[in-house]
Amino acid sequence: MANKQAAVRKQNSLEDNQNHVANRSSAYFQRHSQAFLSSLGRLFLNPVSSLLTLAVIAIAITLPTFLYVVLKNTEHMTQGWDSNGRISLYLKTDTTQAQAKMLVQQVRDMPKVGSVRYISAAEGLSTFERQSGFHEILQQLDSNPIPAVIQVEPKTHVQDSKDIQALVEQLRTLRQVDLAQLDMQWLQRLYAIINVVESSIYMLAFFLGLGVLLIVGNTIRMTIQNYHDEIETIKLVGGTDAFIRRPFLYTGTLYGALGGFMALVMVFSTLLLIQPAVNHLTGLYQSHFHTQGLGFLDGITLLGLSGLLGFLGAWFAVNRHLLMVEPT
Amino acid sequence: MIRFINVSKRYPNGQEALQKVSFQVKPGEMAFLTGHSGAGKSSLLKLIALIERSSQGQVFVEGQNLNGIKHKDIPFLRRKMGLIFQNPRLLKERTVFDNVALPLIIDGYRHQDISRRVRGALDKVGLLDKEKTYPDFLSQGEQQRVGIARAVVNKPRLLLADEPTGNLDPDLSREIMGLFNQFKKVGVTVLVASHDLALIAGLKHRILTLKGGQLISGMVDAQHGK
Repeated sequence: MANKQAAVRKQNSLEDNQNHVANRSSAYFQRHSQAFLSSLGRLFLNPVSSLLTLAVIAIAITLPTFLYVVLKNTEHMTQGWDSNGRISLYLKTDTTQAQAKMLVQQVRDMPKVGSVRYISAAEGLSTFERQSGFHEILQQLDSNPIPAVIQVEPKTHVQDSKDIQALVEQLRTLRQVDLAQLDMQWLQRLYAIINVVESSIYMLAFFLGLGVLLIVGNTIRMTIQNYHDEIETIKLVGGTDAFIRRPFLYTGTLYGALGGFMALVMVFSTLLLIQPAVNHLTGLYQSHFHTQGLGFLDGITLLGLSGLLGFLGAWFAVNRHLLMVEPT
Repeated sequence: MIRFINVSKRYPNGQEALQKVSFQVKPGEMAFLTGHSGAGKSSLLKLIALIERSSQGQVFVEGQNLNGIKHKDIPFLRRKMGLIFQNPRLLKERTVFDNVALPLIIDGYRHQDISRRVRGALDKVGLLDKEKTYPDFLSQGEQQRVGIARAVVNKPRLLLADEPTGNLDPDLSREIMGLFNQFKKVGVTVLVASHDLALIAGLKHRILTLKGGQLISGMVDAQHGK
């Protein structure tokens, strides 16, 4: 009797095992969603401490992100400015149209010169009027105070500052040229400054990213301590390291991604808050400059990166602390 | 099912828990392991579940030499057996149902199968009506039965119990032993460590007695002549 029952039982368990193997792949997703939901649940279990951790992560991410936006805007603003250097030839005010035309032709024929643009005195005046807002004052003047200008762009292969300097000297000697000015040095300096700022922001981002990693790692370490007994029990009933690790990795990734999301919200609110001030500033310059926020792609990248940082922080904590928990 | 050949266990602090222990438990057999506390009962069970590893000798479970099992394969060995402890080690933040379901979730069973099997196991220990309760609201006897339901839910062929009645009064203890008997009747191999001689003597199963780390009686199965 007992033998027969044992045989029946064995048969049942064989069938069960076959079903069980067939169901494994769907069980895989179930297991992951379970781990995901349970880690989400853990965050809500201690809402205050979770929120505090998230706030710290968010602030650490906000700082470099905001600076990145400032940098992006600066680059956007300076984009139209050629780093190659442009030489402006201010012509003497008594220069006639015909003389100017001849001069343009003469400059254009020089071997080092790429392109030449002639801006007549009248043209210059109207542009200045439009951009400066000094319309009424200019109306009151008897004559046009703006000289005609020839803008000279060196050929693209003429990059060496000595060559350009030589060109400037050559142009300066031309008759009718009052002043030859190279608009390059200040631009080069500006770019150098932007470069320094850019590298500093990247370094700052690196250190704050490291901070996020450590914050998440430490939070996960404390969570592991709280779940010490549970981990032991899971190991005793046959849970693999991967099974135990999974919810903690989800928790870490969630911390990172949610912190990144909060950072996005903070950056956008800051941009909204400072928008009037920026508008006022650009208004003073009569500029048509529009501030740029973070694009969709930037946002996704930020979420991905912060999620990755959280994942890595959790990964280090788990491998250091979790695997040391062994049942006794 | 279980076979020990000259197994010794020495802990890093120098304590000799087991010395040259040899015995065998056949498939479908139920046996008791007894002796004073500190005689090596728990150590012996821990070697079978690879919670500890033997210092010398060989332990076989279902013909598999445990010395050859790598650390990462231990979980899969443990899934073949049900472990029951004096303290049932239930997860307090989870319901009775979730506690019993744990081994099935770990093993990747589907939701529908999990419900079916958990209810089956709870029915067997008489706690079907408590599935939504949290462990803290159960009596000790009920908690131990939840622990047993968790141990048998994935239908292991081997049950190991370490002082399962240590915290229970005699009536509840007999009830628990009755449960083990039922599992034995459906072909499960059961090894129960207990120092409660009065309780186990009345149950007509083989009794292995440990003293100071050595097996002093019950090495052979009297009923089967070996």
